[in-house]
Amino acid sequence: MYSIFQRYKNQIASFFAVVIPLSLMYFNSRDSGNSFLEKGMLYLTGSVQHLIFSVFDEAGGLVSGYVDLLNVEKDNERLKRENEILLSEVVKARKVILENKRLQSLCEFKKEKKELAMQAARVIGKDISPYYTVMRLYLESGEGGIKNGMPVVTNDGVVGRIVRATADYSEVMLLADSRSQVNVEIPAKGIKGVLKGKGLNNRYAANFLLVEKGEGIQAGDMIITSGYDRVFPRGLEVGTVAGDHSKQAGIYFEYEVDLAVNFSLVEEVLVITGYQGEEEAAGK
Amino acid sequence: MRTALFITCFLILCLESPLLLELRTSLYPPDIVITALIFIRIHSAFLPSLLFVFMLGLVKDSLTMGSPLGLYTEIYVLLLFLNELFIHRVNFNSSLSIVMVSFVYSTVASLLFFLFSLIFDSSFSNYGIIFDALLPSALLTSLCSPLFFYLFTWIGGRFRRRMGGREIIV
Repeated sequence: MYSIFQRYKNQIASFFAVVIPLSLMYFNSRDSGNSFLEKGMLYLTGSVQHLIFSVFDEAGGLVSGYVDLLNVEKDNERLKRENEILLSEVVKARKVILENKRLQSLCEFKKEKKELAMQAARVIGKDISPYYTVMRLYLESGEGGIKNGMPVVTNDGVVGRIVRATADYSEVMLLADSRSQVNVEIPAKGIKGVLKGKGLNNRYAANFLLVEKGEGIQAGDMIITSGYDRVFPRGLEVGTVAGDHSKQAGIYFEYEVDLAVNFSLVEEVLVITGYQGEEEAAGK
Repeated sequence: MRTALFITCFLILCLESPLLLELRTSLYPPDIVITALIFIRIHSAFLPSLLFVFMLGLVKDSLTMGSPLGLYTEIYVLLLFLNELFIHRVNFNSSLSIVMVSFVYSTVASLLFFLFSLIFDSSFSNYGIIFDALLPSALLTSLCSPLFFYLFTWIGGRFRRRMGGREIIV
């Protein structure tokens, strides 16, 4: 038996090396939950990414502080060192002020939306592959309870939905991802449709799709979630219509949308873990 | 040597996302795993190379947000099999041959990505972007591959000297 294994070890290993990933993909495509291996790998790589993100965050402030001090004269070494320290402190303080502003806005948003149960999370990574538009989050509270499909928002509007989750780390598919579809409406005109991500690799973009040509749609019309998809609660801002002109693609009329959230600048988000009327919406 | 290479690739894969975003060149990241699989197969037997590529594929799968787990692992394992066709026919001492083989592998990787997305990821429908990114990705990967090859040779050389010629199985 052992000699057979020895003789065919390359073939046996090759077989398993092909079959295991295929099985992982197969079960992943059938089951919306995350496997133990998936959670383990997300936890491992999430921890490393979190560490790297923290290092980059710190180093960014120090480097910019150092660059500003390049022209100080040699005989002022002591002052230079002091300045260097102070400048990096100022840079850090500025970052803290900005962070405080962002967190304050998020807190106000959380207070305004009392019907939504939310958990704060920090963005620790953005995908750089040309195929997906996804962000990785670190859940500061560590409360857990984050599940696939949960909506992610900021005070500016909708960010996307959770596609992979563990207790500490989660991945959120952004509205601009080609796989993203959200039921939306223009409340002022009662026009309902679907917001679909364009999946472009050089910018974040999405289209508002309608089955019938939307009469009276104008640039600047605000688009909000309609709640019909049972994922996003009704009334969250998504963006505005970018132009009056529509483009026909198959049976749909497409309008370009200016998304409310600038995904390049997002650093903190809120994950909606539940909302009033969620069960009623699910039972519709 | 394999352990050192694995750690190097792991760190580069972890660093490439924040680094390329910082440099604002994140559209088509070069695929370091393709160069690593060519390099490791030149310097190791098939079985340790397979294990190395499999593990690195899993790492890439976990770091690539949004992709189904197993997608990149499968692609790199299949590329290693493809590599068996070239390994004894191509002279990898020349940078040009490394560039050309990397270009072919990167193109095949994109086509396999398309195939597996079609079969296993029903939510992914933007296939146009795969073909849009195919050529730039292959060009960037192939042009960067001699640099990665040089880096791996340097790390391999240093590590082998330190270990006194002994090998560690990954």
